[in-house]
Amino acid sequence: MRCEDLAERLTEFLEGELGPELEEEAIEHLATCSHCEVVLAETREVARLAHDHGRAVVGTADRRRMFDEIASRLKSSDTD
Amino acid sequence: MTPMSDEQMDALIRRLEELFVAHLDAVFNVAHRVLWNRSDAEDVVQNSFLKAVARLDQLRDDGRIRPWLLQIAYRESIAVLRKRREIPVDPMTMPDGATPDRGPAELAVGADLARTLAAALERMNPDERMAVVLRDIEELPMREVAMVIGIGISAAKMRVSRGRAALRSMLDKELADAM
Repeated sequence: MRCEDLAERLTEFLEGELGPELEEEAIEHLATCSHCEVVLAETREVARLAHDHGRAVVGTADRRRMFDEIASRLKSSDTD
Repeated sequence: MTPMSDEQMDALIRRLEELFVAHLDAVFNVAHRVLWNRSDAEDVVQNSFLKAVARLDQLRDDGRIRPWLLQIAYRESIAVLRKRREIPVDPMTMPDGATPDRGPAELAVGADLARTLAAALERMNPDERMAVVLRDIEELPMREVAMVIGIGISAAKMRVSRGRAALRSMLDKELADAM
């Protein structure tokens, strides 16, 4: 497998969807290519950073207020 | 239509609360990452949960409730976006990164990273951003990412791939620090 082949299939590799033969080729390539090894590690790290820090957060008070507003709209829609 | 009895309404409110507690964060995140405005995202959250409760009988498989809700929220958000001429940026909407199990030092680092991530996400192509939000932040399987956005699985993979590559190039410094 060449660098461009792996780059094209990186998401499938990370998803575990390459199939046994291609996966083995990818692993063999990664063992000998420091560039692709770095790309893979950085891609994993980007996904981890996004997961750990990328969410827009709702505060506790806002949660309560939002729920009360939705429940109130639900009740009033039933009596309309 | 005949109004519900008090018992029926109580049962519906309890169901709403279950959905709300389990899925608010994901629904808000999707809305906010499309609209970048807290007030508009809250409106989408309200409308999405109300629509979901009204359509609960259409949901055959409870296991699919998360992508189903996110699909409603995504469509609502896009509808709001289409009504706008331009997207205002609300600087007060940056996530605070606070969770109860973090100490003060870690919290400060987390808040910095959260701001950096939010700024990078905001600069991304919106289609690629939503694919990354759904796959990496909300951890939906690829087929559900495709379902929520309304595209094929191959296209979803392509967007996730391009989105991660774009984030990689924007987060050079953070990656160097983390690795």
